[in-house]
Amino acid sequence: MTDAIRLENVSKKFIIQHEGNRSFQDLLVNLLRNNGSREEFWALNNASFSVSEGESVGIIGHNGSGKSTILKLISKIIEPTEGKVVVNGTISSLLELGAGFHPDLTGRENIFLNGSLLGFSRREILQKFDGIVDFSELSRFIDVPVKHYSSGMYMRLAFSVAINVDTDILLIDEVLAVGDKAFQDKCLERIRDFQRIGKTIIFVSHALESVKNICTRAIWLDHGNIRSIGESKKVVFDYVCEVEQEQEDEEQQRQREQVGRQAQNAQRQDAPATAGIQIRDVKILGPDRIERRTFRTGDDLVVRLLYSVHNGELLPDCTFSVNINDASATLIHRALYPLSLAGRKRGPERDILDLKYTSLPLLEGVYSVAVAVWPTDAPDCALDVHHQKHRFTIERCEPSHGVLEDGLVTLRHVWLDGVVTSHVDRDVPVRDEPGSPTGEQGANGHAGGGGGAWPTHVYLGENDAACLRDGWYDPEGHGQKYRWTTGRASLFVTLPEFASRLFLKVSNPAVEVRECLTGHVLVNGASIGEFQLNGGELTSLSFALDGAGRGDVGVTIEVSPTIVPRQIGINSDYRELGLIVQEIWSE
Amino acid sequence: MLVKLRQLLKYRELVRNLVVRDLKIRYKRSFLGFIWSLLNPLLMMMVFTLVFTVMMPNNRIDKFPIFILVAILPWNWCSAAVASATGSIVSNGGLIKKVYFPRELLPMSVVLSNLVNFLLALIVLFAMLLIFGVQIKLIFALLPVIIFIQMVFLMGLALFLSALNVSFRDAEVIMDVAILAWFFLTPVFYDIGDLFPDYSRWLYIVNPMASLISTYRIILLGGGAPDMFFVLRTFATALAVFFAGYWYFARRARTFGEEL
Repeated sequence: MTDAIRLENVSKKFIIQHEGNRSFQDLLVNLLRNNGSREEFWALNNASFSVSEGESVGIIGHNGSGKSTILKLISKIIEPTEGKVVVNGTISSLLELGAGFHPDLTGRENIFLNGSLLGFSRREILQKFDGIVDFSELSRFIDVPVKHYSSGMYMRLAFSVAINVDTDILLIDEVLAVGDKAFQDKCLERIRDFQRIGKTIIFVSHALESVKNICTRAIWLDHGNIRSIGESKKVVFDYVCEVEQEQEDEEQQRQREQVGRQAQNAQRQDAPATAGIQIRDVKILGPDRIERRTFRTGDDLVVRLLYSVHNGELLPDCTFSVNINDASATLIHRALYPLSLAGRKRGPERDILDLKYTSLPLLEGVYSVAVAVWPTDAPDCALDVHHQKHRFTIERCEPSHGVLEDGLVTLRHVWLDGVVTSHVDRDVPVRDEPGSPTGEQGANGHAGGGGGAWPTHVYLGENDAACLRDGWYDPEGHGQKYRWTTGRASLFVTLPEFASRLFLKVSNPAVEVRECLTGHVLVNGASIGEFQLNGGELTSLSFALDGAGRGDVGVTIEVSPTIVPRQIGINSDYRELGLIVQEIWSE
Repeated sequence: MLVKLRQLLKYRELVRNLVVRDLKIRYKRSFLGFIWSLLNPLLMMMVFTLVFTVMMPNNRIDKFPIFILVAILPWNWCSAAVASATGSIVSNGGLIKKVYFPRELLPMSVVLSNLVNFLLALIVLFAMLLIFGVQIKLIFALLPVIIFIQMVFLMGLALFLSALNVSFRDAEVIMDVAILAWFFLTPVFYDIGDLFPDYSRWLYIVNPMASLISTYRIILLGGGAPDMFFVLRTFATALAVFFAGYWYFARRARTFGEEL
C-alpha cells in the first residue's frame, strides 16, 4: 500500500506583520530602518507522518495548534518553509465550503464553477451533476441565484459538490455541522462510502466523538508539534485527559484566588448570622474510603460531601444533588437526596454525606461530579452550588475481563449466537440418561435434529463447551465438576416439547460472606422464576416452564450479590463470582 | 514549463467558467445586457467625435468617428483588462486561501473575458467600416495576429500587476492615474504621425500599445500591409513582457496563500 500523503520534517513559519498592510510607505520606512515590526511564528515544527491510501486519519488539538496549517500544506495552498510534502492523487477539500461560489450565479452555474475549481472537466462534472443535485436536495432551486439561498441550502450545495466529485483524497475541516440532522447523517454515510471504496480522508475536528467514529488513526498536535500519533481512540483519550487536567489546574488556581478573597472579606466583616447551608468540599473516594481519581468499570465509588449548616432550624428542607457528567458535560446520572433539617441546630462544624455508587457501569473515559443543594420545594433557587468540578477517570479494562464494549456505560447484555433450527422437522426427542456425556452437539436428544441443536442435559465442566455463552469461568472440580458464574451467565439448551420444568443443581459456597443469595432464571429473556439460597450445600432448583419457549432456548441465570475473592482475603483472585452451577436439565 | 502547460490545460474548464462568470456578472443586472458592449464603444465614439470635431474644429483627420473607433476598441480592452486584473488576486483572496488551483488563471481570465468583449465590439466596428465606406480587404485577415499579440502583452502585464498588488496594495490606486497617463501616451485620439518623429519613435519603444494601435489603423483604415519587421518587433516585446510577468508572478504566487 502506497502513501497517499507524506510529510517529511515539515516546518512552516509565518511572519506576522504587526501594522496594517504592506504598502509603498512601509517599504520606504523598512528600507530606512531595515526591519519593521515583524514577528516570526512557527505554526508547525518538524512534523513527519504519512497516510496510507484508503486510510482515515483525524487531526486533533486546541485552536492554533497547526491543524489547519497541515491541511493547507497538503492542499498546496501554502508551501512549507522547510521539509517536503508529498501528495499522490487528486484532492477535494472541504476547507471552506462554497469558497468558490458567486452569489449572482445560479446553483447550476456554481456547481460547474466549483467543480472546475477542483480541476474537473466539463464532461466529468456533467457526469456527476445529477448526483450532486440529488444529494443536495435542491433540485427545485437549482436555477435560482445562490444569493437567494438560505445559508443551510448554500452549505448543502457546497458540501454536495465537494463530496460527490471523484477525488482520491478528501480533506474535511470542521464542516460536518451542515444542515439538519438528516443531512448530517447523509454526509456521514457518504464519508463512510468514501472509506469503503478506498479513498483517503483527513479529518480535522473538535468533535472528538466524530474523530473516533470516522478515523482509525489520529494525530494530536500541540503548538505546532506532533504530540502523538496512533489509534484514534487512544489519542483522543489522551488528549481529553490532558485538556481536563489543564482545566482542572486552572480551576484550582481560580478557586485559590477566590478563597483568598473570601478570607479577606471574612476578616473585614464579622461572620454573618444568617441561616445557610454550604457545601464545603467534595471528595471522590474508593470503596476503602481513600481518595482516588482512577477507577475501573465495575468498581465502587463514593462521593463524599462535606457541608455545614448555620442556624438549620431556619432553613426549609433541603435536597442534595450529585450529577455525573461525561467529558462533553452531558448529564449521565443525577442522584437526589432529601435532607430534613428540622430539629438540627448545628454550628459551623462539618457534616458528612456519602453517596456510594456500587459497581460503577461507566466505561473508559473522563467524568466529572457536580454537587448542589437547594430547598426541596424550590428547585430553582439553589442554596449552594459547588462550582469546582471533581473529575475521575475510568481506565480501560483488561482485555482478560472479556468485555467487548464501547460507549458511556456498560449495559447488561448477552449474545445469543445460535443457529435456529426449524421445529417442524425435528424427531421426537429422546431423554438422555443422566451421566452420559452429551459433548457432541445434536448427537443426543434428537438424532438428526440438525447441527444447530444444543444439549438437553448439561453437565457443567464436561459437555458444555459449545453451549456456554458469556458469564462462565473455567470448570473446577474437587470430585464434583462445576463452574462458577459471574453475576449473570447464559447458555443454550434444547428444551424438549414435553418438558414442563427446568432443573438447576447449584450451590452458594460463600455463605460466610453472603448468607443469603438471590437470583432469577430467564428463558429467552423472560423470567421463569426466582430463587434464594441460604445454605452452602448443593441444591436442586426447579422452575415451571409454563409459557416459556421450547426447542433451542437461551437460559440466563442472574444472581446478586456477587463476591470478589480478593475482597475476602484471597489476594490473587480478582474474579467476580456468582453461583456454582453443576447441572442443568429439564423434565 | 511543460508541466505548467499541462496543468493549465487541465484547468481549461475553470478558465472558461471564470470568463463566463465575469461576463454574466457584468451584465446580469443591467437592462440591456450584453448590448452594452456594442453600445458603449459607439457612445464613446460619439463623445470623442463631438469633442474633436465640433468643440475643436481645427482637426484635419478624415472620417474621424471611424478613426477613433478603430483605436478606442483595443484601448478599452487594454485599460479594462489591466485595471481589473490588478486587483484580481487580492479580490479573490478568499478563494486563494481556501482552494488550490493555478493562480495565474485569475488575471489571465480577466484578460480573456475582456477579449470576448472586444470581439463582440468588433461587430460594431465592421458595421461602421461599411457605413463609412471602408472596403473590407484581404489584409484584414492579419487582424487575429495583432489581437493575439495584444493578448500576450496584456496577459504579461496582468500577471505582473496582479502579483505586485498583493505585496503593494498601492498599485491598485496608482493604476487609475497610470492608465490615464497611458491613454494620453497612446495614439487614440491623435495620429502618431502628427508627433515629432523623435517622440513617436520613443512612444513605439516604451509603449507597445502605441505600436499595436498604429498597426490596427494601418490594417483597417490604411488598407495596406504593415511593416512585418515592425509587427515582429512588437510581438517580441509582447513575449518579453509576458515571460517577465509570468516569471515574477510564479515567484510570488507561492506565498499568496499566506499573504492575503
